[in-house]
Amino acid sequence: MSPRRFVVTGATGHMGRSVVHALAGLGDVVAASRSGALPEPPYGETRRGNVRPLALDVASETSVAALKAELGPDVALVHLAGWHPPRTAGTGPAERAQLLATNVLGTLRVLEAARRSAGAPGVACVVYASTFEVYGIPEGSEPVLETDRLNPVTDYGATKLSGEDHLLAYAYEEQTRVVALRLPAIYGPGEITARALPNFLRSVSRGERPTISGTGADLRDQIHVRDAATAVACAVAAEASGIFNVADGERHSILSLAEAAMQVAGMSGEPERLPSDRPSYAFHMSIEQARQKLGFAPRVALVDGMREQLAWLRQQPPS
Amino acid sequence: MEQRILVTGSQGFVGKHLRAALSARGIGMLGADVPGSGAELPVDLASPEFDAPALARATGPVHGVIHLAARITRGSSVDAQARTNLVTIADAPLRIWEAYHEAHGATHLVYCSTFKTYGPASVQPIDPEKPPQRPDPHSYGSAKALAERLLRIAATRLGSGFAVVRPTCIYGPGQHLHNAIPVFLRACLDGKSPTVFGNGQARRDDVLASDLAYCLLEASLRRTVGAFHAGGERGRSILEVAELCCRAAERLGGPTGLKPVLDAGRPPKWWLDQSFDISSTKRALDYVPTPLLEGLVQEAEWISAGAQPETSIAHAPVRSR
Repeated sequence: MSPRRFVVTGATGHMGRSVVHALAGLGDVVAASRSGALPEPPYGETRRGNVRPLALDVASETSVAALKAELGPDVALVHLAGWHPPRTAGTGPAERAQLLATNVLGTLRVLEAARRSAGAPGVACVVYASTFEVYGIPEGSEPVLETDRLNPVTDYGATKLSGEDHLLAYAYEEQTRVVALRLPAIYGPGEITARALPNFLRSVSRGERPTISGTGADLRDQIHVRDAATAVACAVAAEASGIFNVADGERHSILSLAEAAMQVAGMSGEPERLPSDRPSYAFHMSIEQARQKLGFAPRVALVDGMREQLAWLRQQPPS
Repeated sequence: MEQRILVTGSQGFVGKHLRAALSARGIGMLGADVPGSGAELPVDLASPEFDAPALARATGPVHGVIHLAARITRGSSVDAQARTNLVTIADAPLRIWEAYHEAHGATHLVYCSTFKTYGPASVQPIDPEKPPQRPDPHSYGSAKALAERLLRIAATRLGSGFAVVRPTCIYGPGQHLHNAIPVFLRACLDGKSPTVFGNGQARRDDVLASDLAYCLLEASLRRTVGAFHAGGERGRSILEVAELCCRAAERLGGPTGLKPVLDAGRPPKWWLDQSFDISSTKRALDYVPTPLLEGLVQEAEWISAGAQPETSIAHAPVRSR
């Protein structure tokens, strides 16, 4: 039977808010975050009543006991808490220290809480948010499979991959079902990071044409935050264990993202182009495994999701 | 200036063999290990107070750094001990390497990793230059895999090179007596047949600790860049290894004609049935592995002399080219 109690770490983050909302439609949710605040409902949604906040800093040793007290054999533990540096490329020792403390040691603490939880098993399952960055730069041009080479080129990707390694060690030792979801860039209302899609929407919301570097031919996967939350709900309900690519399944070039931003803003013409000497590569994951074994089906089409994000963006106070 | 190499984990099993190898070459060793271990530099690399820049200032410039420090934990992969060990294995070497770069300019690093960075599904024989994918499902191999990945990223940032040496199962005088080879040898020396679990056909590869020390030291002295296996002559079935343990005990005047017995009722431990390509180690480091029987005789001598850790080096001739 699918779990009816959920504990979510990183619950106030962009993805966390949507995950908490989706799971609260299925059962009671403990929403753990460093601040201990009650997560805001996603844009356009109404708060669900069965969500209880919990202050939890996975970078602190005290988090093990605090989290353990919330767990049990009927609980699905959804571990989203992690640190994402403002830019993932070219991080230095200071960022690496924070990535190790949160993404690696934090994940070990969360898993230890599950291990020490009184039940047998300690929890019903663990769902872990991983990243496409575990792959690094793909070797070929075929859609990337879960079994393809892992060669992270960022500290973020390396620390998230270590979380996967320890998740699998935990699953082996504790005989507990685990699912790691390798997610691409997540967009949708609430997304504030500095990367292609939100940058393009910020430009068009100011009435400016988006700017792309180079040809814009590089492929980059996307997923709407609501679909990311759906993937978590599928992982919780499924019987499968293992690692799954999750994305919207479409091929998106950087140029097509810029054009979509102009389309949803009703702008005509072409994006601005700047020369680029950055290495060019295509990244696109196959999501067949998630479709087949988790029953995951993405629902949000890119232009619809971007239109929604632009509407949200226009309601934000100017920065 | 006298040539000196910083060695973390200097007081451990491999560290002792490395010290002997350095001493034989007239190279100074700056050993860093936990307080109370007798190391020149008493530091706890897992402590939040560990200050890598202070270590780099205290030693001055060195020829290179060899990172061995790690514990082989056998408990849970996610408990407090695993977390502490992960800091020693995957955080400390990066901080030390960066601190030496900052204080003294480009400094070569040799990172002692493990064959447990390879999970069970790897293609055989394993090419060391292909980055390990999924480690053995335990914290030890997982932490070393993380260290290797972070070092590759840091190397690009520092514009500097490093060597990874991945030993197979390390044996030899001074090793932990709970492991398979010393258990076999002790049985043979006591006149008993060694017991092999399962059908004995799982392959294993054993590297003598002094051979590993040779590889680590040569990689440092030559400032080698890349990933290398420190392995034995070839992989052998565990039954074959047990038979060679019987022959090693015989050489020391033990009982003749002993043969291993199989205990099919007890499943073999989790085992990675793997073989390792050591051709690049032979080429780059002029490495010639010690024949397994010869290494087993060294270890049998050490065990029959009382198996004291401090006497291990006396039973292990230093490897040289």
